[in-house]
Amino acid sequence: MSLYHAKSALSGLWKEKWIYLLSTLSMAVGLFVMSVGFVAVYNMHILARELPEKFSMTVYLKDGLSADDMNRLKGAIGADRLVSKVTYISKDDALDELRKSLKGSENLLDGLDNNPLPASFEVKLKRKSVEPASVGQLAKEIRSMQGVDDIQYGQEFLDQIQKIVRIVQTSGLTFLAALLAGVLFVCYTSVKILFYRKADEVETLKLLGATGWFIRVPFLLEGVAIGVLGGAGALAASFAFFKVFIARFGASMPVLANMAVPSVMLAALPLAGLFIGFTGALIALGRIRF
Amino acid sequence: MIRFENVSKIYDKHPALKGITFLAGKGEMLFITGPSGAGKSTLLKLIYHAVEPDEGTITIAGQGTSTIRAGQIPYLRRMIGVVFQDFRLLTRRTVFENTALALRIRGLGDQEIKNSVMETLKLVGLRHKSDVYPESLSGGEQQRVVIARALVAEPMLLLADEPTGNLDQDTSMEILRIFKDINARGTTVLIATHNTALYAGSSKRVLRLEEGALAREDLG
Ligand SMILES: Nc1ncnc2c1ncn2[C@@H]1O[C@H](COP(=O)(O)OP(=O)(O)OP(=O)(O)O)[C@@H](O)[C@H]1O
Ligand SMILES: [Mg+2]
Repeated sequence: MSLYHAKSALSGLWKEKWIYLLSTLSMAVGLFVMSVGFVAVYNMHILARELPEKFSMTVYLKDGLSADDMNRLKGAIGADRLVSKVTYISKDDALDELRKSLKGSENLLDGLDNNPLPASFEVKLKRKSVEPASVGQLAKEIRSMQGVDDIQYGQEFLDQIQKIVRIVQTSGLTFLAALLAGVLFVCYTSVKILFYRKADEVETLKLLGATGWFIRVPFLLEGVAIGVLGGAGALAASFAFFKVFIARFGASMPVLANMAVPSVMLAALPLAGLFIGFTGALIALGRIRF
Repeated sequence: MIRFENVSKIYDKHPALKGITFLAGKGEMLFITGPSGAGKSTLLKLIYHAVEPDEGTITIAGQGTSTIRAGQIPYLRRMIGVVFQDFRLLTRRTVFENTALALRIRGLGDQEIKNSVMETLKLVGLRHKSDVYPESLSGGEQQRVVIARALVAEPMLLLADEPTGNLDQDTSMEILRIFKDINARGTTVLIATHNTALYAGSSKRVLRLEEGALAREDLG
């Protein structure tokens, strides 16, 4: 590649300005929608990762456990690598709690002569990399420990959420892949058209003894230009959308306000455009026949 | 340098060349003549591999054109300078850039290109038009740009298809003198033309094509 090739690619820019404009805009729109899709998938990923810490397990203890047994049990549960914190809730605490929640009709409990509520441990899980499957495994282990009566945790809820996250992620990734194919196709067609419109020139170059690469390079540059310009357009649109629009108007909607938008992704848009433009052009040019 | 053995070329059932056999030695200058449609351009196109023969074998500088790998075709063509009958000038490049193209594809540096191109344009009398676009040149001027582009890379073989078709008698003789010069410096020159003045009294070989067949061979 040389300055000559760059000039050669640029020389077509003005003459083919409509093709450039159209394909660059399509690229920008495609990449912008991709960035929105990516942010959705990314946030689902974060949600899925942080989900378990929002859960706690309640481990109900058998009545009449000695303080020693109880401490041993607490230690055993706390030793698991998934567990971050174990809090003891005595029978009295549990009753107080119940009383509080029955506010106004506490007299319902007046007839009780002994406390029917069991003592329990509240088990908090560690933040990261907790899969529903391993949570289930942990629950099974705890249940089999001596002194444990029962264990409750939002198993179904956790499973359900995890399922939803998985569906959103799979469909999000499928959607992203389809869009990627779409923008790739935009670059492919644009370069194909630009190539056909210069068929005469290409034929002359061939007859003069130009190699395939000599002929390809200006068109590759044109594909790259469309990609990078489209990527830059998408960057501007994404920036306006995420950092300005949502920051200002999304504040009332907590889901949007708490959304994570990785700056690296925004910065990568022109680079993604470059690769897509190059690849599309390369496929469009294919093998040069002599 | 050029060897045709029983070469035929058929365009959609219409035979353009029939059983052509001839030999042109290295450093030779020879002419191909014949009426319009006799197959002169087709014969030249076979040499620079723009069309492929339907029968027979063609050997250029020891290289058989039907056995050549696609990747080698550009290098075969670089040995050959062609004055195309239909010019093939790029409309959106200046005279300088059109001429330079033959050197650009070889990857030469800017300074080297500039020197060679200006020298060659001077040779064909177009130095002062180097920044002009082909559309604002006369037919004869355009023809001379094509000649400059064919010569600028100093090819081993020059193929000129009706190189004086748009030139007056004086300019034609001027161009012929340039061809003779480069021939004297070792380039093989093959000229297809109707212009009998180009070969009259030259004592060079003149191959006459008629309806695609080699009708006879004379000395000019
Ligand atoms: N691409 C093509 N497709 C079909 N027929 C063709 C093609 N090129 C040439 N022909 C035919 O082949 C024959 C020879 O053509 P060619 O161009 O070689 O003639 P020529 O001797 O160069 O004529 P002229 O003196 O007019 O340039 C003609 O009958 C022409 O119509
Ligand atoms: Mg002809």
